Amino acid sequence: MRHAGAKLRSVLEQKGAFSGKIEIMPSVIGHIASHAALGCYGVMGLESHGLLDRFQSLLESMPCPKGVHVRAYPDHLEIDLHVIIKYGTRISEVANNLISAVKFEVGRATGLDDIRVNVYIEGVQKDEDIR
Amino acid sequence: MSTNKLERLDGNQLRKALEGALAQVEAKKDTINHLNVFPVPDGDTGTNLLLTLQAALQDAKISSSNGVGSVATGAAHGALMGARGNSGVILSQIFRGMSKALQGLDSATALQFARSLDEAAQAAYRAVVRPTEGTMLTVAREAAKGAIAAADRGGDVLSVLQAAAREAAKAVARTPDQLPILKEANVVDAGGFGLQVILEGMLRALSSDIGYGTENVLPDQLRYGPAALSVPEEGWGYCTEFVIEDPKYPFEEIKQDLTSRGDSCLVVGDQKLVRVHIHTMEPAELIAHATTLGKVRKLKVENMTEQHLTVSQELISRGELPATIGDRDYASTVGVVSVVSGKGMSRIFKSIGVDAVIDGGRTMNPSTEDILNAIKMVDAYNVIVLPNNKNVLLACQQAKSLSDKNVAIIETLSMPEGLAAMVAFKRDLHLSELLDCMTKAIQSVTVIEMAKAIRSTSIYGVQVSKGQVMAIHRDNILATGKTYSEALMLSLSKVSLEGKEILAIYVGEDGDVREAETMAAQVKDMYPDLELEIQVGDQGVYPYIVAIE
Repeated sequence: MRHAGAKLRSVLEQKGAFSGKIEIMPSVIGHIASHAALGCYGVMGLESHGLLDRFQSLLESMPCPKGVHVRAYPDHLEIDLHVIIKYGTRISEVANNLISAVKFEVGRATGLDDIRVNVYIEGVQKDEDIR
Repeated sequence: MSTNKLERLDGNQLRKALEGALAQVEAKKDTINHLNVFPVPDGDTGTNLLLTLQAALQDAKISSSNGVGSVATGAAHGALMGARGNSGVILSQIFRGMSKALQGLDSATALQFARSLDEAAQAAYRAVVRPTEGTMLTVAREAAKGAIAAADRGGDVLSVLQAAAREAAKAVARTPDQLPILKEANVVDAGGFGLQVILEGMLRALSSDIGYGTENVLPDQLRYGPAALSVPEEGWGYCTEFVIEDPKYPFEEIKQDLTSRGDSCLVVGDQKLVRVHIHTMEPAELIAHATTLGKVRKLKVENMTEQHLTVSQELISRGELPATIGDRDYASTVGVVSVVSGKGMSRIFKSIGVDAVIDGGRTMNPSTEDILNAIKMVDAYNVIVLPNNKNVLLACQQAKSLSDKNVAIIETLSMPEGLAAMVAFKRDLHLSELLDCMTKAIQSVTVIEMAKAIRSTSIYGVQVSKGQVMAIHRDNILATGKTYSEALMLSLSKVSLEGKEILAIYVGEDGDVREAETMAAQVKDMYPDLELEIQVGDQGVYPYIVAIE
């Protein structure tokens, strides 16, 4: 999360108040993204994908929530979301709504503006599946 | 109440109801857009609902039979395929639930219709893990409750719909209490209000269809939605805020007095200080009156009609609100304008499919007006602008903000970058895809601009003496040399040529084709794998621009 730090630092430096750094852990971004995703209409859940994913969450001390991956680059942030979508919704539209909701919420919480969100549809949930 | 009753709802009537809903949403679209602050404040809820409803109606019209079940299935299918935005997806689920409940029916009784609204609300809730209350979902549920209650009382289809619309309006009015972000923005939920408008539209259409005027059907406050949201002919009036210090009358009296003088009145305070927020058509009169109540402080008056216009114009210019909604095809057309320098370049850009070129002159310095005119000339709603120079970017951005079309700028910093972007241009692609491809295409080209220094100076930290050739690549001086070919050969050793196939030299106004040919021969000797090309560009400032792709 170098970018978040850099941005904030420049603001603080301008105010002559810089005396440290702020670092946001990817898992924190992951939780914000997960929360936003689960509130998004048509998204029925987040899904961990594959063994590797499960292994990783065992190894990391502060894992991202299930189905969420966050990668921080010097100039942008990339978030992968592995989701289950409601059967009978227009998948492309739900995915687009999901992207804009996650971008908006993560951006609002962190102040970052270059956030890229990738959505992977891992499954669809039918009405019968819940009953 | 009239004695005309609608005991059963058939397919044709459902179609009429949907037409009524569409007309009503069309009329209220801007108001709904204006309210949109949740989940993402992008001001497009009204537009999304309208487009989704259009798609629903289209399929409802061509349903296989006139049975209410078949028409509802058509509407559900259309809404699913044409769903736009969050509110559109929710609406598609509402239609889906409705069509499930009405499936196979030729016509529906009041109770069956009420149940279909109930199933619609349930279906809408089933598609989200964590439903947010105070949104379209809440409004759908409350409307359904009202509908079921009316049917249980033995009401006809119209009274069911009327109850649904009434409960929807009540639920909409409560949304700011359920969702704090709405209260903060001082609005009701956009999607919820949209659903209320849809139900009211259906009610209007059906009641006029069986011959009694809508005036009997809709209580006053429902006819226009919440008072603060209506757009009266005389405008929105003025949002007036002030504080009364040391009021001369008891607080309750002042509150009562002011409440009668405007809309959306909010009076809070105590015996010492009264804070007032009020919407009025006559702010001057109101303030004059307020001064008789005590000392008026912190006065703020804003013209709400103007605020509203600013917001909708912003949306139009950002392309989130098509200027002409009736013409869907026009809304998706894309054209390109490009800023160029030189006749040759102008010809090259035109031959590759640019709709309009703006001659930026020798120094690439077109006015905002030039760019704006070119955008206007292009016969397309979406216009991509290629500035081809860093200094032109600002003028392009200004033109974008002034234009009533949907303008997108691809930040090309040189003409070869613009050409590379144009190679990726396909007229049948959607704007967002196009922007993506074209922006990517720019990265495939390396551009070296060459010119002689007109005086000794230090540029970008590099010492240059008068008469020396500078080779510039994206704001950096790559190399300097006594001759153009020396500078070019030096720069080529510094850039990555991996995967590059073509090296093109654009000869400028002050360049010489023969010199370019000599350079090309030298490059060929050194890099035999590169294919060489010489084009007459006639551009100013740079006698030679080299593009490597």
